[in-house]
Amino acid sequence: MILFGSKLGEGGNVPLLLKFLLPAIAGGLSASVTMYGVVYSQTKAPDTNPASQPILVYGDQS
Amino acid sequence: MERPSVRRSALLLDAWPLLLAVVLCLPLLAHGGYPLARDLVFVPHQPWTLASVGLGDGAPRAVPLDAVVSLLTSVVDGGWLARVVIPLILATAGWGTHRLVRDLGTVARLTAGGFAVWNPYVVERLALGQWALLAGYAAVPWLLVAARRYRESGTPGDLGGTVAWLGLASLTPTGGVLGSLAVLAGGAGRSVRTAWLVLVCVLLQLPWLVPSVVGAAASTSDPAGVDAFSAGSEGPGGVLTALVGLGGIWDANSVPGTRDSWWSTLTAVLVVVAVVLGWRTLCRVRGRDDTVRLAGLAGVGLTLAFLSSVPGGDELVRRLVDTVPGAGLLRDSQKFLAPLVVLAAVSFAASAHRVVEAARRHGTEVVLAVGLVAVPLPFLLVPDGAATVWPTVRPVTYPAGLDRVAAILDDGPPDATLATLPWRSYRGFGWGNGLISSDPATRWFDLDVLASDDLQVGPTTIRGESPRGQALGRALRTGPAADALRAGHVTWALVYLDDPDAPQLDLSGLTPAYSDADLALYRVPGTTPPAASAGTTARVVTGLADGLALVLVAGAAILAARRRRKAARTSAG
Repeated sequence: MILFGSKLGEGGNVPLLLKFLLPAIAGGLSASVTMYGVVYSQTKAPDTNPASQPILVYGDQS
Repeated sequence: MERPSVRRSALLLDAWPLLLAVVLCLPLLAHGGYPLARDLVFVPHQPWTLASVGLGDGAPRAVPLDAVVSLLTSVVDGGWLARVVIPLILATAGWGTHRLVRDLGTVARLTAGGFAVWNPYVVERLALGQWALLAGYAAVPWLLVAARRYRESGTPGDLGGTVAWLGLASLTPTGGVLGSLAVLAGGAGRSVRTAWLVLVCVLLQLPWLVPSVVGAAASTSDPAGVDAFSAGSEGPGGVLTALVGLGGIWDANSVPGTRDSWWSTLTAVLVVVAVVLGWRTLCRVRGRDDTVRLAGLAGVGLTLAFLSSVPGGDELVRRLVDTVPGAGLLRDSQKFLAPLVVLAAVSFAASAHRVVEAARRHGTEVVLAVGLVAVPLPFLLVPDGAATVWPTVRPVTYPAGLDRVAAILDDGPPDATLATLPWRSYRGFGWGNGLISSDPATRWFDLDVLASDDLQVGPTTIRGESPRGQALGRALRTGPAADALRAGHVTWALVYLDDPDAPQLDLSGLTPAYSDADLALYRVPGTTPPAASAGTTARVVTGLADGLALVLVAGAAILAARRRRKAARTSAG
């Protein structure tokens, strides 16, 4: 199979097994970091108690 | 003729930014209704009023945007317009940015295009609903390319391309300033060509400059807004780190949750590393001169964004805002970060290109691994981008009562004014999407609509610029509504019944004209029409400025299209 202009498995001195594992590792890492970020963001507590905030404001300083 | 692989690559390069734009706007595209949250307000049909061209009672902030939206919604429903325009603007930023580095490989260009669409700046501004500012941001890479072409060729066709893109940027005053800075950064050179560029930059800012001078609103703004709207810190690094990490919006509610952690600091570090690592590659593919120009533009933007956060700088901005007409633009300083975002996107691309080149000798799989980290960079740096934006772009269904009220108002006296009560600028609606929003009545009804233009930011109230609105607000605070409205020459009062302060309103003396579960319309007995907010001279001068800008942009677009067709024929031949 040709990808990025050359056949898979060809070129370089990286061991063949590692070569095939690298994309999976990179993809898995990207997906894990993204998923962690989404979960972290959606489950973190707010900085201030929403009940103590005025309801109808244009915004609040960060 | 292009090879199929080249065509596939070109398709992929344009499809990736569009896909990210669609994901960011998904609730808007997946649900019926109209976007109404924060500053994002679309109504079915926005009538053409004096406020559309900046001659209403308030400051010309959304000028000529409101006039353009009014024209467009006369032929297409506002909901559909939003569904086309907002994703298209985001995608345009990506399409322009990957073209800035067109000599780099596919992985690098995908990185640039994707990052330009999905980054802290775009996410935070879209979460605040400021889609039109993003039109100014999206035009920056295109303006850099177009202005460079004009600097080199000096042809009317290339000047036309620059003016057409500047027209898009100049939909809002801040976008116009950003666009003008980009034009001058990319195109300044030979004196005659620079003079033409300066001239078109000034002419395209006239639609908001003229009404800000001849209009009824105060030309200066409340300096209290400088502190309230100055850039904010995100995460452990402080304001400068937040800004270098491409965030730092003033509003805490628009900040993605991850940005309040080390994510923000990491992004700032990565931006600096990318600029350093990618500099030589950028200089090679874009030319050293153009790379320095882009870096200079980004530096100016960062300085403006940071100025009101440093001792001395805040005092300077406060003084400017208080005394110089139009300097209120400087209050929300983080807006000016747009060129730095473009620089960061192309720097990430250049860095990715270097890593890909180094990986290539180890084989295709290693290149693929690099691509699997570089291309999803937007998700890695702002993983909760969509979760932050989606609540804002989730559309609402307007109550049917608004149309019934509009029909009554249309049958009412001419030159009437409507005021919305309880007196506040941003509202929460029971039928809304849970977020506060700008008052849709100011864009819904075909008459002069008075609403409070004071802005409440946390505990701080920032005074608005409408003298008539200020006077009415004071009167409503001190006396019965009927007396205050009559003294303010207001004919109609629209009460939002789901407002928490609605039950406390003293509406005695007003004549009910319509009522349902959401709205109540009252006629103010004995009121007299107000003096015109804009005299004949103001209307004529503003009309001339708008007409001139419209003709200039339309003519420029025709010239640019001709140049493009000619270039295509030349390359085909």
